[in-house]
Amino acid sequence: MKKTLLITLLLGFLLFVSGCFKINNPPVISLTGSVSEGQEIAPMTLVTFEWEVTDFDDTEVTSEFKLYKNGAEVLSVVDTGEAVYALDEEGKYVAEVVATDSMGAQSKETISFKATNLKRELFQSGAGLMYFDYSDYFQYIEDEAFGIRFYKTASEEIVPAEEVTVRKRLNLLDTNDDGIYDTWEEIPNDRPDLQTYVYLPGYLIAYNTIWVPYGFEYGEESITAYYLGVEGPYSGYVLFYQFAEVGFDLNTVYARWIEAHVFGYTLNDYGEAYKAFALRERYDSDEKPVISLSTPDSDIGPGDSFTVGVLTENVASFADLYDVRYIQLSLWNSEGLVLESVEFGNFMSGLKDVGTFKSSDEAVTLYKAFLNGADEAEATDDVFATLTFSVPEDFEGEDIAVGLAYEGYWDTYGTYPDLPNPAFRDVDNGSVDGFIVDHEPIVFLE
Amino acid sequence: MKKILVVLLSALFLYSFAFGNVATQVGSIESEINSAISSMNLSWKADLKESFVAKLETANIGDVEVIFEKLNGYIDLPDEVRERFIEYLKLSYIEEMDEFSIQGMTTTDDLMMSTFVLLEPRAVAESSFVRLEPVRDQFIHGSCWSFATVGSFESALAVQSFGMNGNVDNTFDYSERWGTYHNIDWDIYSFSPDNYVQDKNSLEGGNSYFAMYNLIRYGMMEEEYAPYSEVYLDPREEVPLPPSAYNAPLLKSSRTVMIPPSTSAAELGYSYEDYLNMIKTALSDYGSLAVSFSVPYSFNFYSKGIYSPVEGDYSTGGHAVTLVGWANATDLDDVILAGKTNPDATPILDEEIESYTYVDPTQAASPVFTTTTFWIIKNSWAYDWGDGGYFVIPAISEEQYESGQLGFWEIEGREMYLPIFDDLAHHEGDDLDVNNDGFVDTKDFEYLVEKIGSAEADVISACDISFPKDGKINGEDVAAWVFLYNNR
Repeated sequence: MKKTLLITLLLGFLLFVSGCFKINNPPVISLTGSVSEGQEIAPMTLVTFEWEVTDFDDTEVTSEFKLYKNGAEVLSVVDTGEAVYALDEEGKYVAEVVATDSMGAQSKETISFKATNLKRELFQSGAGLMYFDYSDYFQYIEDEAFGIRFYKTASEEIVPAEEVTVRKRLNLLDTNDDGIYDTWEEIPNDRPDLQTYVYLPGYLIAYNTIWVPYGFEYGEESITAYYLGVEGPYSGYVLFYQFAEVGFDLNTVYARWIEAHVFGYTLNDYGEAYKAFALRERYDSDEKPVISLSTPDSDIGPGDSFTVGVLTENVASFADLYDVRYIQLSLWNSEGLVLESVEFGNFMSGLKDVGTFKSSDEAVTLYKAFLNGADEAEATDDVFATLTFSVPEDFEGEDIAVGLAYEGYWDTYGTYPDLPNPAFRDVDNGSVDGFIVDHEPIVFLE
Repeated sequence: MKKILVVLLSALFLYSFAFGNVATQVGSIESEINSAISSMNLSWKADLKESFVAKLETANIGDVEVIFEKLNGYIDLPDEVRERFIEYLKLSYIEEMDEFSIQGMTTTDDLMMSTFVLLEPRAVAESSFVRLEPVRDQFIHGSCWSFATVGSFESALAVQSFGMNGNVDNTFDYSERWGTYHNIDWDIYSFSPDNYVQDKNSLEGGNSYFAMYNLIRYGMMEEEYAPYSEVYLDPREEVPLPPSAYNAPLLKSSRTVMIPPSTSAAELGYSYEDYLNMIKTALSDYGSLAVSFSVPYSFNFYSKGIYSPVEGDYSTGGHAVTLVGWANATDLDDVILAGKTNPDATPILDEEIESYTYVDPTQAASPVFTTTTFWIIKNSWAYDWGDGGYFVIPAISEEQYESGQLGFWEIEGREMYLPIFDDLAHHEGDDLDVNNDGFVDTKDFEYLVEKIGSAEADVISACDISFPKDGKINGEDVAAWVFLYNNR
């Protein structure tokens, strides 16, 4: 009887207490967007978001939407239920809605996505770091010498706060008189008379062969004319002549005009004189992720030691965008050099950097992992690793050189401690494309 | 009115002339080939089906030889790439060859090379293994290389990701059109000093070496987003992508198995048995392979049997196809290839054989070879070509492997490729505590690097954690460790 009374009292007490305290549930958010979680899109995309917030406790709710790019806020709106953002730059984005009810309970919903220029370039087949300018008419050019000149597009603020696209006339200059054009000169738009042609031979006779114009190759640091052998022992071969060691910026539209005659008329009469072109890539010329070796600052000989830095320009940000978690690089060195040490710094922010290496007599492979975990305290820098070599007193080799490895054969791995070609792997262990490895060796003694 | 009638009659006449011309040519050629087959005592037959001949006529090309040259669109890598020396562009170019220069993303071979992995051959017990996957139709374009690559992609995805016996039920249908949109610009590739690999939208000839890399860096979209039907009848080589392609989901492979040519495999130390087992391991455990060969003229007219060239044969261009299985000589009278489209289809051979001996007239002195293994290969010329879309050729013999005597028509003369799809499921048995100290930490990472190159069995057992396993400890295992550490 006592027990029954006790239970009844306890139940009554619980009933009383539950009436005194109301349990407040946080609001429920439904966030949708024109992009979905994990999606990769191209820049220059209008992204839209919509959200609804429901509070089952019927309290007043405020909702705040924020869009972050690489952790920095780029858009913030309150209680609108929708947001629009003209996304024009690469980066990792997070759309976030935080809802707060009148009793202070909060909830949060996010959509993470990223914008990459790779996504844009996927649909630009036919463009890249090199443009080959070919016309069937070139080989019929009748002039002893024909002229070529160039134009580029640029943005100019002609009216305040308004950028318009303009065509710039260009001249090629040979500033050091070595016979190769090395500098661009922009001509003021109101002085077209200052624009000049580069004159090239209408035909060549060399190596007992007659060569005629065939095409032009436009690169970032070169302009090359191609001549086709049409008569003689090298008929069918191509001879090329690089006449400029400056070239064209990536992702900028240029045009060329060729002043020449074919079949008694100008090339323009056949609609072939003027042509626009562009070198295209996922990055601009000054944003390339390049891995290279530091330049030596003194001569090295037997008994000396020296350091080689593996430098990375724009690599960490590019690696972060494409979620790189593993980099492997091999360097070869001249026979007889002794590897004394390898030091790794903090390269990737936000992740735990771990570096180690394995070496053989003529090569060393660097392994760098970016692991989930606390980031290092020191600041990041662009030095991937620093290697110290010594040259023995009895060194008898002819060269002292170090280079980043590239091997095109399966069977030349013998001198390397591991697979020699550079490897970049993402969070899913997939290979990441787009890094540029400068294989030009640094030479101290030759 | 009379004029219109005359024009119409003329058009009809020209059409019927063209129609009759191709069919007549085919009949005459087949007759000659079958006569040669008979005199050489070979076991195949030239007999193109009428429906296939009718399709050839739609190419609007009067010469049968030219039509097949167009279809055989596999472009071999230049010698400078395969053998790394360049005599492509003579004269002034040669003087600059010793210098390296900075290379751009568009892609260069250094990045591509690190995506190719070797496979550890296992002793494969099955005497025959036949995987009949959907036969596609490249029609009049030189896009065979894309069909071979995508065929291998579909098969590998089915086998590796879902444990299926390949794409036999057409579960996966990916876009060959998307593959051809990212063909390479062969002019840029040939003429640029650093062999830039730059894209070009082109249905003309290509090579799986580059197409396999595109599966990794770009990914592959399903057929519905960029259907081949968009270009099937279009004679242009540069057809724009349909709008549906622009937001299509893309599935990437992780790496590519490369099986080296037989001569390279021998140089790398693989025995004949290892080499065959490497191919068989790839087929049975990972999926069908993209392979290629130079096409003898007579091959184009194949209908059934064990193909080998006839007297007078010559190469009509490169061709890429998909290797789907193998058969022992004694099983050739049991294996039916055309059953999917013909309920009355008969086996490859009518009677059992123990081995097969044939003359190869494409080689100097027309050597004679004997083999007991045969490759079963899927073409991309639809079901009405060959034996239900397939053909059969002898595998390389041990004598050939040792001597390097290989005809231009044999698939072992070139690299074979297969996409790899890495994921956590493939590493279920891999322990990250490779140093066995009871903790998984960065010491394991360092231990793994230290053990690279080790030949000790217990070390290999603990540290060979890459997918696929290659029986070696190298950077692939280190990369796999990082992948697993970050994702488990």
